[in-house]
Amino acid sequence: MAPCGFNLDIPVSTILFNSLTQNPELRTLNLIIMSENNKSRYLPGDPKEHHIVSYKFNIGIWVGLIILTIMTVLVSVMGINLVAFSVITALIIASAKAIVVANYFMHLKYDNILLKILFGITMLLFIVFLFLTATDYITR
Amino acid sequence: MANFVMVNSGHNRDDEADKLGMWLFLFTELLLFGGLFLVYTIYRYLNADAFLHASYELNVIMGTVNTIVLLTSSLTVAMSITAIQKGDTKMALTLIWSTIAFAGVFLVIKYFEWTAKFEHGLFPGMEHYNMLEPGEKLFFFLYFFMTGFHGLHVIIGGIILLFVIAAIRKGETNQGKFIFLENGALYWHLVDLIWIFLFPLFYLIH
Repeated sequence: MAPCGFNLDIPVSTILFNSLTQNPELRTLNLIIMSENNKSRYLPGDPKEHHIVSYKFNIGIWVGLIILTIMTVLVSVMGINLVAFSVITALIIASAKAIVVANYFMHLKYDNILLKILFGITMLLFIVFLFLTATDYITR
Repeated sequence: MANFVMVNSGHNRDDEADKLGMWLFLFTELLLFGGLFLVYTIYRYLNADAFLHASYELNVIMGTVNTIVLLTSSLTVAMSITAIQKGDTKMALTLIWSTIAFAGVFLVIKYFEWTAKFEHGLFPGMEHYNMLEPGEKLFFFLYFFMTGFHGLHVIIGGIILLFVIAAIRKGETNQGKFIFLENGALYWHLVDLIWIFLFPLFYLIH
């Protein structure tokens, strides 16, 4: 989990750092390592930098979601004769809305990538359940 | 004897771990509703005509209004995080209160919708329900169970937000430390996320 920014980095022994500072050739490398470390490491309790989503952007996302909702209703009401088409379209639009809510309202886009990966795994798990159950019923 | 002082001892705090824990809980919620969606999908496949017929009983206008109400409540709770990050506590409180108000509006609309169904005797066990064919019975059973369960989540989400308001009032949740608000908002968004799928599946399948 260390690459994801959690506080589980393995501390590099100070001896290694000493040898790095004493060797002039490795000094630049050492500086690079130090700066990299400062970038990712923070102590528990330090306020971590948060991405602030502006009011305006939030409202923009909301407008997009409302438009998608109205689109779904229109497709359903107007496409009475296209049963399969309207169900699939409704589900595609619902998924698009869910992705927008998860990414922007739930801040998955700005948070640690680990959360996004876990979210993906959960969805994959659900699709596997659905697939296995559906194949059972369809092939009976 | 040497004295050891651990770095940052006494007040361990890890907002990211808090949030990870909240997400793990949300995943269990998603799979809980996922199971219900699975049941819905299979029975809809087996009773396509009955489900289609039964879905005409539902009020699309009320469903659409409720979707818009929930999306707006999601917006206000997302904006309350922006407000607290900017240090505008008053604005944050107003926005959370409006989220709770929208939750109330959602439940009132739901109440009228359910009342209309009760009057038609469509609740499982009622006279009209008992005369329906099996596929339609399944539809209404799932409708009442899933929207009812979702409604329960709306109530729980509202209560969590009341606790968040109390924490902000006490100053425990503030500009520098707002993970409780973030997690409360995450729960609220989950409620919205589930409704995004419930709405087309029950109201719009014709």
